[in-house]
Amino acid sequence: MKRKNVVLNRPVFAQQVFDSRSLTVLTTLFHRFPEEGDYELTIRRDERVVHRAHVRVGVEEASSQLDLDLATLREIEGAYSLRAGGVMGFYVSQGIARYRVEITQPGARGRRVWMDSGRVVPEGDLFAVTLVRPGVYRVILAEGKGEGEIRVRLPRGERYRPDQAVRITVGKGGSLEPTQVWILSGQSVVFWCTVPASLRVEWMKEEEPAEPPVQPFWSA
Amino acid sequence: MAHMTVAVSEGVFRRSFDLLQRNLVFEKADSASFGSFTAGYDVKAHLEGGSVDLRADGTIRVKELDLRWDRLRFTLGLNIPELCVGGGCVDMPWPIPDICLPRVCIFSGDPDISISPDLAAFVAQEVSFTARLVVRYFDAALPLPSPDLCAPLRVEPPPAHNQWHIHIDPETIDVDLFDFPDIVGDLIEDTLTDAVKALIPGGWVRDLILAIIGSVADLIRTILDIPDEIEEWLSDLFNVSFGLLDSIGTVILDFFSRCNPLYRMDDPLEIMPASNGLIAVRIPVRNLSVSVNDAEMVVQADVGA
Repeated sequence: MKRKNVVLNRPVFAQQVFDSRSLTVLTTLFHRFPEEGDYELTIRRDERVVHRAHVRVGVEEASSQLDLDLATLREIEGAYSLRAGGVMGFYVSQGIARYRVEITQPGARGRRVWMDSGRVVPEGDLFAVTLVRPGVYRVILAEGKGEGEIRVRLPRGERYRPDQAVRITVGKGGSLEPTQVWILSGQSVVFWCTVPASLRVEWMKEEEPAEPPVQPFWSA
Repeated sequence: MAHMTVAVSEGVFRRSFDLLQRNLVFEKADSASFGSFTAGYDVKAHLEGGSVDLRADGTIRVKELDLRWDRLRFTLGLNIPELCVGGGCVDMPWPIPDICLPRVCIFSGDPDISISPDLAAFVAQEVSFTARLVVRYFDAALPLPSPDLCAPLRVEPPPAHNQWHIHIDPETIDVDLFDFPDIVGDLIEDTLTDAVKALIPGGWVRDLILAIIGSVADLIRTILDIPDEIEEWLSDLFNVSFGLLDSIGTVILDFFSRCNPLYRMDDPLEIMPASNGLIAVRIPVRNLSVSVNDAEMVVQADVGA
């Protein structure tokens, strides 16, 4: 029997800490552009600038969501285009590098920083983690005293789709709603920050044997 | 009235046929891409047994020759489709648009697996045909055709002198369809499952990947687009897609009809060997013909000038 060794995307299985201030594989940061205009995008990999581009918001024929894979960025001609109110998603498909995204807008009174992921996820933006390794994860907010828990387990014969996501709302004082969610391995948790927040998700321990049933989908 | 007549009994004819058909070897290898998978074969077979019946209508009936597979290696290569985690969309309250998550894939590239089980022990077929006997004249002065399609099938090298050849010329050839038993489906599925599992490290990583796939059996069925059982799919592949039945028929036809005579007669025919300083006596043979009845084969010829 002949076979070609498969090359696994190892960071997907090895990553155990996810931080909105330091984007890695399996994390996604969504920034919403509520106002039309021209913006400047700067991507840093391990604190070195690797990509600069313009973002034009308010282009009628553009899509309302544009995802950028920070691990495979290429120079573009012109600018990224988005509809008014559109969302840009920044994610990392592979590798062990850490990324920081900055969105600014030049103005009469100087440069306005709309988002600097190295500091905080701005109000209205979202931070998502796709959790692969089974176990219990702790969610920590740098602001306030909010803390939550995500339990991840392998599917046990039930209908399984990785493309399911659960939403957690981050509110005033760093509160999380709900504070505890259950997902299956490979599914995602999306934190909707209604206040500026910095989030950190850490794998804590193996999954305990008896788990409550997984919520297939949670909606506010 | 012919100058000479030779009769060959049905028993002798059968013996002659048996000696000739033992030399028929079918050997072929090929592969093809079917989009999401590749399939190929490397086969070798020979004929055994069967019965020969001379018939009153001037034909011969060859029945139930066993097509024995010395090698029936089937190669199947699959590209494992992209397997990803994440994705899906989240409803957001107005005016925020629904957010769709990117997918992150767990293989960097398209891993592929390939298996090559030998299925010779699991399949047997029979070949039957009706034929007439035809006479051909081999003129040694003429060059062989180029390319010489008989070269791989010829039992003996072409003669250095002229000969009359009596060939069996099949009119219709029936080859049983490939019909693989259930056990072959199980064998292929098990071999593929082992191959997929061997690609992936063990523990929870393998459990997760197999959960995404559903099961290796599901993966195989999806890639191969198999609606029924694997053995039925495999039989169709051999019967239709590979065109092996046509190839077998062509080889049998060429072997008997063109490349290997059942009987030969030199022209001129030596009737007295050289001796006592005298040269051999040879007579030219003209108008050789052959016929068959239900008891014997009859060869008639004239002695030419």
